[in-house]
Amino acid sequence: MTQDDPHPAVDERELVEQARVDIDAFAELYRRYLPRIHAFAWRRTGSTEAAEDVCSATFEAAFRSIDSYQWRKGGIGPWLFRIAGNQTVAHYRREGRPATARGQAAIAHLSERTDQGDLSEMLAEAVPDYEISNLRSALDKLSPRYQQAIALRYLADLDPAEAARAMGLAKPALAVVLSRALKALRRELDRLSEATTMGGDPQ
Amino acid sequence: MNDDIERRLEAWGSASAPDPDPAFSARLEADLRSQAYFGSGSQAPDPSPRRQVFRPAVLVFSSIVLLVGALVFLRDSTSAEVIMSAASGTEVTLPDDTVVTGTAGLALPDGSQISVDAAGSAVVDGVVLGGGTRAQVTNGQLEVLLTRPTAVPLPQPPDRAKTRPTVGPTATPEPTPTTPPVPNPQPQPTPVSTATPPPPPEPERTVAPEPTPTAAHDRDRPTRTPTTRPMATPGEVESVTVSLSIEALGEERALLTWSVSTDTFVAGWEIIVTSGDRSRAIAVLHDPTVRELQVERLENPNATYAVRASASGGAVLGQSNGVRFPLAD
Repeated sequence: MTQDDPHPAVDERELVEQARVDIDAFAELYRRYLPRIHAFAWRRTGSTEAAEDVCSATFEAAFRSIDSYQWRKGGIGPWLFRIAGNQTVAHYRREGRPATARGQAAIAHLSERTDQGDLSEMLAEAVPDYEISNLRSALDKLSPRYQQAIALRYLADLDPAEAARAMGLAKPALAVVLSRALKALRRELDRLSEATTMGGDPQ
Repeated sequence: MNDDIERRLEAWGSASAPDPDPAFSARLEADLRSQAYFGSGSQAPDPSPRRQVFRPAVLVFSSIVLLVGALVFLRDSTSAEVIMSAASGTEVTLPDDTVVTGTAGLALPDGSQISVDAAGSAVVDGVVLGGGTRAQVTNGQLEVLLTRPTAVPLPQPPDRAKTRPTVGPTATPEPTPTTPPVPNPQPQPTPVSTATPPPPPEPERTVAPEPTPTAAHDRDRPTRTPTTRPMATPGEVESVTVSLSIEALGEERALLTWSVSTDTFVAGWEIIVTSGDRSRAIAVLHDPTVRELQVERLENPNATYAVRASASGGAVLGQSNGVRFPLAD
């Protein structure tokens, strides 16, 4: 929450109720969640522009449908992340991605050198670039549902319960979906690895 | 075996991410506020606190309106359902956030959002959506939120193709993002008469302003710049004269082109179709700079199109003459 928060003492549930009728309250929700949604979209896409696209689409969708949102334990965050996850998948469908790991690596390389000079540094703290690139390539090839499950669980800074809510599932059901999704991801990573070893494109 | 992948995913998820660009944050917030104040016709939060105070009364009134609307609907043989009759390169986000590919015959419930690729096109409720268009369905009505200067591919007779000056929606200018609108908007203008103005002179092809086409690198940016129009006070409201012409683009499509005497207070347009004694808006355009729209032939050959200019807040500033779908050559 920011220092100039106009609703400092208002809990989130009350804020959501106000946001249905008061644009200032909605704007406050927006300011609270934008950094997290942006970080999620940025990690998932690796691109500032794509992350902004996803954020725009997410908050516009939330704004249009907040009247129909029903408060649930855990707050509005999982609902927003669910929309963001859908919008990320939609973004990829709309824009397309380089179909090969090499293509994606080239794009990542270019973007690091141009508009995101700090990308390498930030990622290097945790995991090497090529691993991110491989994971992203493999994740892109999974079904939207598996993509959602993995992205919401691991990239959205949500705990398992929140991720389950974001998926509209019970925790045990999410665990089952995640298990299958991880196996599918493993298969795609193996395919990528084989293709890279053989010098071809994993198509 | 999945442990290794989980570890890598967790590392990926814990990688620090950049904060959103403050300029982007401010622009998006301004856009959201503009939707609230200038109305995207959606479920947008109403800035007026009266909505809370009079909620029971509004509910009763809404019920009556719904009942009357349902009766009218049942009397009318035409369906109010909005249908996508053609699509390529189009995605639809349904109200439950499911994303589907736009296809012919797809029913679009209220809340559906339509996104047309730069190279795609779609036809919804007889309105042709060109590449880059964003639209949504609200109250059974198509709302065009964003148009792009992209030509819609059309089958055209060669002779007409030669003589037509341009094809495709008017470019949408992308002005510099503005500051958020004033939180307490001034009183909305009082609706004025919608009397049809006298028949227009021979339509001119130069009436529409020709904004500079959007740069290619801006194509992917979905944030629509808020269209800030002056808020008219009741004393300032002036009716406008809208002149409409229509030109066949083939057997099944035509181009509506309109001009307006002054667009100072125009915040958007409604495309009205009148069939017999019934009129309905087939599209609402939230871009006052748009001056043309492609449409598909209506089932009723006697139905007419008209364009209505609206001020922010929905007050009607003027309505064009009615024109019929032309006979193709």
